[in-house]
Parts: sequence; C-alpha cells; structure tokens
Amino acid sequence: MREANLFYVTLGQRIRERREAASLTQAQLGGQLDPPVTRASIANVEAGKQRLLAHSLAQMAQLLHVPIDELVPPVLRPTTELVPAIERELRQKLDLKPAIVARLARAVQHVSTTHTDTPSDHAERPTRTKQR
Amino acid sequence: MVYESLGPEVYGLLIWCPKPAVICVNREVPEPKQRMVIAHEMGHVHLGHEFGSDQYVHVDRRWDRYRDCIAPGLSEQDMEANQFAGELVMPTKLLQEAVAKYGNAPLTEEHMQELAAKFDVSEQSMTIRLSRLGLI
Repeated sequence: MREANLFYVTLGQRIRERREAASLTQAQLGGQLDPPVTRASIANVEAGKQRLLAHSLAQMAQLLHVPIDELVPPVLRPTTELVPAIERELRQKLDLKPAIVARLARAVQHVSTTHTDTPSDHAERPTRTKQR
Repeated sequence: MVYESLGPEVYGLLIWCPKPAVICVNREVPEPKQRMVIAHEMGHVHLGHEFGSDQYVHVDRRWDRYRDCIAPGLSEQDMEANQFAGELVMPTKLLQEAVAKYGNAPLTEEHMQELAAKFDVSEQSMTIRLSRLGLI
C-alpha cells in the first residue's frame, strides 16, 4: 500500500512537471481528456491523492508529447529481491571489500524495512502517539 | 548515513532502496569535504534526481579533480547537487555577511583561510563558492 502511494505521488509529480513544461493549466489538460477531467481532479492526481485511469494516462502522455514510460515510475521490488540486486550493483560498480558490501546491504535492509514513510503515513502518526 | 572506506577514487554513494536513500560517505575523505559530499548526496534526493529505473547505486567519484563545477565529467545532476550543497553548507546570506566584515578590499589568502575555517569547508570549496557568488 505504501509502495502504491509512492508510485502515485511520483506519477503526479511527473505529470505536473510535464504539464508545466507544456504551459498547460490543470483545467486545460483535464478538459482535453476524453472523458474530460475537472481541474480539481488533475490537482489531486498531481498530488498523488487520486488514481488516474490507464486510458486517461495514455491520453495525457499523448497530449504532453511524452512517451508514457517516462511518466510511469518504476514499480518497487520487494526487499528480498532489492537487497541482492543492490549488492550485485555495488560489486559491479566498485571494488569494495566483501565486509563493506555486507554492511551496506544491512543498512539498505534496515532502511527499507523501517523507513517507508509517505505523506499519508505522517498523517496517521499523531493518532498513534495519542494512544500511547 | 554510513561511513565506509571507499578507496581513493570515490567520494560517496547514494543508494536508493529505492526511497528513501542510504548515503554512504568515504571516511578516508577529510572531514570538511565529507560534509560537502553528504550535502551533495542530500541534494540528489531533495532535487528528485533519478538515475535510471534499474539503477539503485549512484557513485559520486572525486569531482575535485576539476578546477570548477563546470567540468565535462560532471553530469547536469551532479552540478545541480553541487550547487545545492554549496548553498546548504555555505548559505549565500551568511557568506555575504562574513565577506562584508572584511570591508571592500579584495579578499586575501588569509581571509579565504578564515572563511573556510568558519564554514568548516576546504579552501577549495570556499573558493569555488565565492567565485560562483561573484564575491571574488
């Protein structure tokens, strides 16, 4: 769920950047979609709060003259695959002692399992503190 | 934030998990420079830089080989990150105030050393920053 949030937040940021680069207002972009989407909806999409239909996204990419894969963020890999992938990349790019690679992998493991904050997680936090 | 020995060629690493990131700084680099490296990596994160969808490790190799940030070996993203780091570690306003205290005379070698010590950066970083701000 958190991963999905991050996905939509990133997607929204990319749409906003491309829309601004194309000098379109949120209302103009929404109005050119079929079916049309309101200015408020585009604002929510750009903030990652509303999830866009796939065919609206395809239309949007066309309107903004950008390949759709430049708008779509990569899907996050689960930690079990991510850590070995990072270890491989470290070995490939740098000549490091195995112990250092192992420590870095542990740091990655630690961060990816404990810090997956997204804006919505921050919103939940005060409630949890009160319960304590 | 982790500190490791990364050899003579590397300043720091930024590892995307893919978000948030682990910053690894080369502990062999002098401490004032470490601060700039950390600020540089933070710059990549803050500025939302992306390094290819299947790349998780961004390696920052020594950029002090070049006399200024405008070096052919540096990507646009690295230059942006350097600019961010400069502003974070040596904020324009504070630096202008510090320079103003020396009056209108051109800055001497001693002034540069003092400024570098005050902001805890290398003299080289300070020189680059001052010239970017048009203060020397």
